[in-house]
Amino acid sequence: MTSEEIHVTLYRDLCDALGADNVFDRSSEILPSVEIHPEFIRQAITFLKVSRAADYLDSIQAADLLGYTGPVSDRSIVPWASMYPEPHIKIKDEAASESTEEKIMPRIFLMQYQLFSFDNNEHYILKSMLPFENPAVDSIDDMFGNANWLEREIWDLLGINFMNSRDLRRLLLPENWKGHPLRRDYVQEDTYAGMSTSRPSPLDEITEAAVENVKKWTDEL
Amino acid sequence: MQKDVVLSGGFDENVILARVDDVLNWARENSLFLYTFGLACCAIELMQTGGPRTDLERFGMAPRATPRQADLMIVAGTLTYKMAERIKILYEQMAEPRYVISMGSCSNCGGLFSGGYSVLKGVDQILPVDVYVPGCPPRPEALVDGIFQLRKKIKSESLLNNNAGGGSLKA
Amino acid sequence: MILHFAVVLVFLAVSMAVVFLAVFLSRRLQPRHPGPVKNSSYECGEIPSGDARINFNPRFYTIALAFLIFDVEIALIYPVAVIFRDFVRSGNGLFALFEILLFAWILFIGLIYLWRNGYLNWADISQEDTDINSHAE
Repeated sequence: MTSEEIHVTLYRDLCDALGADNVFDRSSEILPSVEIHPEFIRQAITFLKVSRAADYLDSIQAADLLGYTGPVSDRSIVPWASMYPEPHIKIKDEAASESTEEKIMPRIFLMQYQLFSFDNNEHYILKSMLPFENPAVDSIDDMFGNANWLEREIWDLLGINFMNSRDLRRLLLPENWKGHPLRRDYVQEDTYAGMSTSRPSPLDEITEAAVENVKKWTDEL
Repeated sequence: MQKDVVLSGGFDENVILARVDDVLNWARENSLFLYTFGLACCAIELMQTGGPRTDLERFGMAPRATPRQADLMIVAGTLTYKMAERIKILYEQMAEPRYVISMGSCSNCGGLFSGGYSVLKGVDQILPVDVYVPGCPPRPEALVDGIFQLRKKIKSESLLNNNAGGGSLKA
Repeated sequence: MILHFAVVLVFLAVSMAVVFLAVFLSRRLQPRHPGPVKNSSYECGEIPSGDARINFNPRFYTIALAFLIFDVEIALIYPVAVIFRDFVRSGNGLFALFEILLFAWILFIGLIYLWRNGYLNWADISQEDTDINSHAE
């Protein structure tokens, strides 16, 4: 079965299991997947693990979609669209005669779970969008052992909270780091533990010295 | 009793007189034990510099894995803030006289990753560096040239000025 | 004969002097700046944590003890080797040989006891799994 067919049947089964209001069909996109209401992710994954024998968690991915202008599904037909702010319209070129409107995604986080079933030899992709204020999902690290580090990495870099996780702390950055660097509005502090976080470019110093030298030499001529 | 053995040639041909500074500096620069702080790609070039073509051991530089037995720390690679706290402790655990060579762009100034949030822009923000070797990565010949610059610097040290390696640590 | 030991005394004095000179010169010429971080334990840059003392298997002590006993035995046999020729010349060679062999034989019986009871094994064989399939659930 192609990936699209897999996800079409998955969408139907998940509608039965979770209710049609909480599932959204994305199987006709370039990357076929099924979108789930964020509060039902854990149930969907449990359903996959039980009914589809998807016992291998490939990866958990997340992204901050602020300023994203690529193809997006029509938010208005997602049943729970009222959770999110509307995508705002940006006029790219005001002087142009044609409409240069551009739909820019609101500030939301995209989460994507990739599971694999060895028995069926099928990949399953689940997506979910989280609102920007206090993004939180249920943790699945009691179902999959490797979920703990994947969730810790996402918490470290994007600040998405995983509720009821057995151990949620920073993984890559030092423990006392402030902020979540992969967010689009991240601004780094000036110092960390007494070390400066910026440095004037050596090329600037060289250029200044070179300019002075040239001036000095031309004056001497 | 044994017959007395007399050295032929007397005093002039059998005794060398030298200044203490010269002897000390000669000894120090010809036995710089290496603390290989290979962190990233420059470590590969550092390994090759110890390889057969450009041999570091023929200069007397044996690699040591512990700072206690090392004279020269070559910081080869990108320093993250997480590692910087530890490299400071390790530098302080080295015994004097100790020298630091910063190898490659990343440890000189942050290099390719100087826009990164987790990268320390240059090791000289926390350690006193004696020689900077530019390159990304520097060829083994370039690193050996840097080591020879360091040897020139060691030659100019003096016991009475108390300026042997291990300058004052930046606060 | 006492003059032979004067050579030893001079040897001892010179060797001690060399060592002291090396340490003294080294202390005068070295740059030395001890500090709290420099004197701390080395743990690859981390702050040291945990206990430095570890428990080890007492069989290592047993082996060291056995070595000590036989080392002392060797040390006591050396003087016999030195004066054996005098004994042979005076006709008591066989007596001396028998005496020293008796001494060695008594300790050899002790060695056989140690060996047979497994006290010379570096690892405890009786605790090892002899069957690799014995871990089956």
